[in-house]
Amino acid sequence: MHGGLKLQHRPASDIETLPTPPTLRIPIQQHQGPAAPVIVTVGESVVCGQPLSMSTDLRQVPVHASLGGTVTDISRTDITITTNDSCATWQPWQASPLPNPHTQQSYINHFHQRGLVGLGGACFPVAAKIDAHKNTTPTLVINAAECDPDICCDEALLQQCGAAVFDGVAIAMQATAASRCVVFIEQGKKTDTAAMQKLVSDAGLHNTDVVAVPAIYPSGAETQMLSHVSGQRVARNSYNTSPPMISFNIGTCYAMSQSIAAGQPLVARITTVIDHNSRARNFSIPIGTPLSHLAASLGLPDTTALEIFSGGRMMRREITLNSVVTKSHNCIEFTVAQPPVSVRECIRCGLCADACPEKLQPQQLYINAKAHNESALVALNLNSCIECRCCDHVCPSKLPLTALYQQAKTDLAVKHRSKLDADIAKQRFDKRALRLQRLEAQKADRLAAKKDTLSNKKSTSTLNKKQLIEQALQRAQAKKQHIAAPASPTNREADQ
Amino acid sequence: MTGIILLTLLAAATGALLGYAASWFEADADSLVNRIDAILPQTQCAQCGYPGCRPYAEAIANSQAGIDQCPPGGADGVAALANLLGRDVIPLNPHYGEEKPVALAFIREPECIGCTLCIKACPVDAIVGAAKLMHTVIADHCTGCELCLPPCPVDCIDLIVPQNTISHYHGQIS
Repeated sequence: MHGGLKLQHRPASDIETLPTPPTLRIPIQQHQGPAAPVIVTVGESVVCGQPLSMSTDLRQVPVHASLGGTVTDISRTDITITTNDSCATWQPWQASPLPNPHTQQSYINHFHQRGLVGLGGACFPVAAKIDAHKNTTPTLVINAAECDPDICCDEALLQQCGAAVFDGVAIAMQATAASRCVVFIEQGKKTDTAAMQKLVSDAGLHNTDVVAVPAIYPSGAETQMLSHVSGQRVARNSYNTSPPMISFNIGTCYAMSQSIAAGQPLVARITTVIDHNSRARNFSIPIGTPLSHLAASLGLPDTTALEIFSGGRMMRREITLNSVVTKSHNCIEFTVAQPPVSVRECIRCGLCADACPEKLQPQQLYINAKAHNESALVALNLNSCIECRCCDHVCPSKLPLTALYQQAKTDLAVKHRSKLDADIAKQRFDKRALRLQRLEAQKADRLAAKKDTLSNKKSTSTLNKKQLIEQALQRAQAKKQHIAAPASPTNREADQ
Repeated sequence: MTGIILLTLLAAATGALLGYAASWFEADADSLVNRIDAILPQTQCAQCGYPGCRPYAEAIANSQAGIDQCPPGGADGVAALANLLGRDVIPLNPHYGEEKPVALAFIREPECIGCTLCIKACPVDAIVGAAKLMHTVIADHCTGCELCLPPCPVDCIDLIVPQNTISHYHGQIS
């Protein structure tokens, strides 16, 4: 990996359980893709693990009731549940087990119905990922490296539920029809290569290697990990390697094993929570737990004075106390608000380019993002930026580079979207113009035809009239002759 | 004398070459119209005084219209046109309208009498309905051109500015 930063990792602590939240607010869309239609109504009582939305489209991942209770509100974005059972005694909703024999399609349907998404943070639908690799024998890559130095939920999961995680890896190998498996870890953790190899052999996995890399942030990011494992350059958003690779976070593997062993949908996730004293604890949190409940259970003082972030100290994004824990939250951090740092102008030192793991030119991106120079930003590959904030961290001028890139990316996306909309509008306008032209032509044809028939009728009738007159004249003449003829005696005699 | 003849010949040859090049490499009027058209926002609103974006693009290409007549394109659109045509960036001409956020048409359905006048006015076929039956706007296809407003006899069409639908994090720059 190019660049990156050597940062101090947090040691993992045990996984704890939260007191039962009195209400849950479950977002209908927590994954990458459209939301599935809601299938419950207000006032309905639901049990833990009961699906709240369902769809057969693999991109529309269903959500489930994380605890039993009553549905009290359904808005456009969330379903609110007033809970009536505790975290400690939940009874998972009894869903149909995986049918025998296990085919790839049955795994895909099973994972889809149980709402499984990637728990590394990006929330890509698991079923859609497997479905996309259906006719290949991919290499399965298991990501056991934390994506941020502050996060320790994956390490805690490995220490406490290592066997279940590797049951999940075995299931993932079967479900993806993978020929080979690579477990990717960072050096210097408690679960080291030897411990991993023991877990691998305990689970009876074949063709499985453990790859340990130095703990340099962001080696746990997907593109960096896949580049390292494949030895090929992997571009963001197009993971085209040969052989194809399919990667899962170990949290996802754990969820897979739970969904097969207990039939349990994805109703809780393990999240690292960092309090205002910078103490990290790992919790198993029901999806939809309000952050206010989390803050109250941690015994935080005045929450209004705190800033709340999702993600660790590097990849963090600011969220509010009104948010809830979703499938994407691997870390939630409550920190005391920092005074704003004074920002100076870029001194062109080039430290950012040295630190960038994607080998981008952060300085050029900065200049062009400030100047809104879109074509240059595209040429400089802005969309490859994984927003790891290594450049922010090394910048001596303390420039908020990543925030600027995020803004520029959003602007580019909006521009792209409006260009697509304009193209569609143009097509529709052109088609309408053609249709109007055609209708006009048809109308003109119709009129012409009508005129034609009318004039024909007129001409034929005038012809008839002339003929009639002529015929009448002929008849009259014939009659005249006939009248004149009886004067001849021969005829009369002949008649007689 | 030789010099004069040589220079005359040279001038004649160069003139012939330039004349030939001018006719051979003549700027394709159509491609210029297409490039101008690609910059225009395709709202087909006719605020520029032409019956659509393409006629306006043709008028610009023929130097019959200025580049400051498209309010939906806004200042960015004028700048892009100026860049393409090598002209100075000028402010939008207020005679043709003000730049404002895109607002989509919305029919208050209980009040619609089903006269089909708005359907006939819509330049992108974004309104569905039939005579004496309720009409509605397909929001995804509406360009916010406002052409459906004047023909409506009962004034049941509102313009609504849509919420930002991009669910991506907007970076905060301090």
